Amino acid sequence: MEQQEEKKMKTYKRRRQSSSMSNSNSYFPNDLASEILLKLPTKSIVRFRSVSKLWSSITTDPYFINSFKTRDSRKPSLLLLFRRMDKLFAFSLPQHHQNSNEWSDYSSQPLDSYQMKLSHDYFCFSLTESVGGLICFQTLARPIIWNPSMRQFTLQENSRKTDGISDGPVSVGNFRR
Amino acid sequence: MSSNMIMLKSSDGASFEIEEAAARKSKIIANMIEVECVDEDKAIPLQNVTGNILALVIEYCNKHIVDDDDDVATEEASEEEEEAKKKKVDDWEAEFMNSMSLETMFELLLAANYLNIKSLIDLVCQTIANNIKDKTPEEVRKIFSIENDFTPEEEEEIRKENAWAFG
Repeated sequence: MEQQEEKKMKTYKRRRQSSSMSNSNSYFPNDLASEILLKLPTKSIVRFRSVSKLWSSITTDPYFINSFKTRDSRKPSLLLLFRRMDKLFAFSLPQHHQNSNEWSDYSSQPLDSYQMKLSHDYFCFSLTESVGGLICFQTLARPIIWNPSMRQFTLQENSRKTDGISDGPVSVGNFRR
Repeated sequence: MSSNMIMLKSSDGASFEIEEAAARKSKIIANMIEVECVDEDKAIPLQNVTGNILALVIEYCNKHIVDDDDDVATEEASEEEEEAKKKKVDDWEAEFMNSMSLETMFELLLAANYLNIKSLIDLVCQTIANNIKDKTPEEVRKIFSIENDFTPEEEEEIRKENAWAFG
């Protein structure tokens, strides 16, 4: 199917004697690229930062990140954490409106799960509630901000802004074993 | 509800007759109608839209005019009815988008943008997003005809930073 589409595109391009979409359509507006990117899962957005400098700057732009947060705050997810030794296992489950019984949606938004190795510093920590999808680890020395969707830890030494994208409201259940 | 008909003319000279209510899905056309610059027996020329794409836009508008009218009356409609209706529209949209190539999607997106039809922009963007979400940056560059303007070092750096997204 995809191959077919690619083939179609190729013949189309040959017909138009043009090697690029931007030539054949004269110009593809940045705000449309941004609209498309806004509809992607976090993981794809992060991967596509290496497409070009333009795409990297679109997806790290504060306006883009804000729109993304607004979009995702309508789709809250439940974050489950398991910790074993120096490993932290995170599972993110999409939650839906209480009055919605669209179970079929679950298949299109699969559970995201990953594990991280915690450095020694983070060993003794307590979690705070999530604020705008970010979670604060209170470690012995200093607070660490964790962005579960970006899988990113930021040491809060100064109050620099993080350039991360974060998912909407997250409820935290902390399971230790 | 008036069923005034208006004429649209594509860049390649094809004429289409469309109900005014359907044409109003386009903010640009709605504006033209508001300021009365639409002559009853004159077609509105759309210089940036070809006939085959305009046909798709009109198909979409015709389908959605009915649904939007119904929205007003949904207050009394039961939840199940509403959901069934939504599912019907979703199914129609899925089928509609399923029938076209990526290239057509891009053209349709540009047309929807030019005509300012927000819901169609959203639909096409979502479909393109679903199409590319599992692709590699290289494949995406090909699809969008984007030139890689990173130096090999820069690209390696940015890939390393976001290594988890490549798994």
